[in-house]
Amino acid sequence: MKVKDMAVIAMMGAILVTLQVAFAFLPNVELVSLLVILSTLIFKRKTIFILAIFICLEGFIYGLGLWWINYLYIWYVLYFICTLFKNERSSWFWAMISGIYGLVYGLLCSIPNIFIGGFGAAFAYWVVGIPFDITHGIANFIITLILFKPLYHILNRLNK
Amino acid sequence: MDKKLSNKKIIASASVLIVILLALFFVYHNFFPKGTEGEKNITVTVITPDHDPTEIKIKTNAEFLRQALDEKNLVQGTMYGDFLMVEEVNGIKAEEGWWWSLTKEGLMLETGVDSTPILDGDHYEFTLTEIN
Repeated sequence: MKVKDMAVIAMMGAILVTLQVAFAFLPNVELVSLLVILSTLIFKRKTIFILAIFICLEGFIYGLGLWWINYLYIWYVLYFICTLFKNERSSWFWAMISGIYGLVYGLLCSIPNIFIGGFGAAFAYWVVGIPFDITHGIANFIITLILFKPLYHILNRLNK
Repeated sequence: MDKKLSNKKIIASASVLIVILLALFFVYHNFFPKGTEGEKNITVTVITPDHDPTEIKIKTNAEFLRQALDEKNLVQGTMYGDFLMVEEVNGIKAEEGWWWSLTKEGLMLETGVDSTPILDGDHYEFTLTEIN
């Protein structure tokens, strides 16, 4: 790994954390999903390390809990989805994907509850959070639709 | 050709998004806990390490636990959207490193105060618990 790669990974990890904290006051409105999409398209496999830094720093800031167990896999699910469509550059397409990801975020988060309280507990956890998921999906869609192209342009230049 | 394929992907992903949205509405409408009408007598026990448990009886027509607790001004906290994160029970605030655990007849609840429907004869416990 080159020094430039390490610098990019560190910088992007820091940007993700900063954006998450900056928007923490707005429930279910976040730019992390968009940045993960862009990072996967532009920085490709470095995103694996970027996410690792992001997840560790989030743990340091907020303390470890069940939410952190969610973080260990949930962002990598988005990364995996993005790798499947790595040649796609349409704002509309990625807005849809980001919206879908927001809608199913609560469902993905409920998985650890299966092991803690059983399927009933996981289902109840998911159902009660559906309004938040809908907000999350709509916010992700709008944010990605508006910001995908300009941020892609900026980050792509950084990668050259 | 590429543009056609991209348009197909957009339409396909839009379809998936709409289907998921409709599915979420369906699940929420049909499976969100529902309250029951009518008068109910419930008991709330407040348990802290320093004091004997305090039992509070509530006679209410509320359908969900939050409304019943609010009738007696039993809980305070921070709202996250439509849901209350309970931080104070019966005037006792959970200090840093502590939280209020909500159980029903000794069993952890899968829902919070806002989404727990109540029935006549229910018994709830708020236990001041240290975070490990």
